[in-house]
Amino acid sequence: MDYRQLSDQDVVERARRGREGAYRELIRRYERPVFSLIYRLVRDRERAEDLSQETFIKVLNAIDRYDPSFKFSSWIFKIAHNTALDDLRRKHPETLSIHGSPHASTADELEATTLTPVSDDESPEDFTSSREIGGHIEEAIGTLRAEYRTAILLCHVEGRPYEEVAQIMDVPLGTVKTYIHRARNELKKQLAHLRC
Amino acid sequence: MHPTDERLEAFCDGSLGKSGKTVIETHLVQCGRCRGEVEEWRSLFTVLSALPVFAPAAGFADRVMAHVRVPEPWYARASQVFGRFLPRTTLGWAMAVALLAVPVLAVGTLAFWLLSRSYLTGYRLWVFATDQFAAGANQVASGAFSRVLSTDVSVWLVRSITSFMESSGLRGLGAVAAVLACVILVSIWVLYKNLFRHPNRGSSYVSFTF
Repeated sequence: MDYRQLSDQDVVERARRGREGAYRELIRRYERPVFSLIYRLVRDRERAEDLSQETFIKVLNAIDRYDPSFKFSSWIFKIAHNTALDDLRRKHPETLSIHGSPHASTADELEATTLTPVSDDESPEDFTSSREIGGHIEEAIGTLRAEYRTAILLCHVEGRPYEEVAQIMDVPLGTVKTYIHRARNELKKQLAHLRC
Repeated sequence: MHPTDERLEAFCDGSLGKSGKTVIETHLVQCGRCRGEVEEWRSLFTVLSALPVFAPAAGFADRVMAHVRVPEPWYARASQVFGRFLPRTTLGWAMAVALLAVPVLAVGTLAFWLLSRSYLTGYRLWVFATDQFAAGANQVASGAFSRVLSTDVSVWLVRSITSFMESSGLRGLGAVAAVLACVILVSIWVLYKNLFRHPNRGSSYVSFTF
């Protein structure tokens, strides 16, 4: 059965009926957005993998308790956000670098901790140039408070409306607007040197 | 007078109302400083929306699925239950078919013999069978009912209900009926939960509120 044509709600409905293909379709749809969000929050690839896996296991094992009157994406992002925040509270975050972890001692470790975006149709020149700009913006995002980071990533990278971001983060709409405004201002200041 | 930074930001992210948008657009025509501000916001938004998506390592779905308990659909559970009664060897199948064939052949032969009589039609046979069945069922039911009513327990129960009604009236009887209804509902729920509903897993996993 081709699940790609179905809406999230329909796929969830089939998952509840015990179709393994529906579970895999939900993973396929959300593995990258969820992993990207968590990766940018915890700034460690291995931890991001573990936390993303934990998020999906929580979500899929609790699929029969999902309330279909809410968007599935809101639910999964909410659990991803909470999982990452819990982990951040427990551990100290590492500094993000697009060129790999500063603590990497071998080439393999450096490779493993390097941010590798999914690039579909970029030329090597474009990739290098965007990688430089991307490096600055990633570093700037890395300095933001975790709440600001989640808000700005959900709003700009995932394209979620303010209302949904508020639902995901479990804060009032006004707070989300404040988070996003402050995050943008900080980013604008940090990236000002790139425009000169 | 220049619009505030917040208004310029709202203008760029499209959250400004139509009238507010027109005011800003008019202002931008004549103000280079605000045009510069708007450009800064727009370039930030462009950079943010162009942020790459990261992918987890290959085999992520398999690693997740190794920890996910997929509920079995009803037909899989039913086939598991019935599967226990199915023979596992060829000899077992042959025996089962032979056993099943005996009553089928017997009933088939009898039906063929009956229907081949000229005075017996399918309709007459049907009417005869249903009449016999109804009479038999009626006899069994009434016999069982009268037997139950004549037991000591039943007599005691009827007497108790009558005396209870005399002492407490219809309200008391209603209360008893309500308690009994609750007990029945709870029993149905317990049966449903234990026999049909697949078990809830990892109830401590997620707590979320919308």
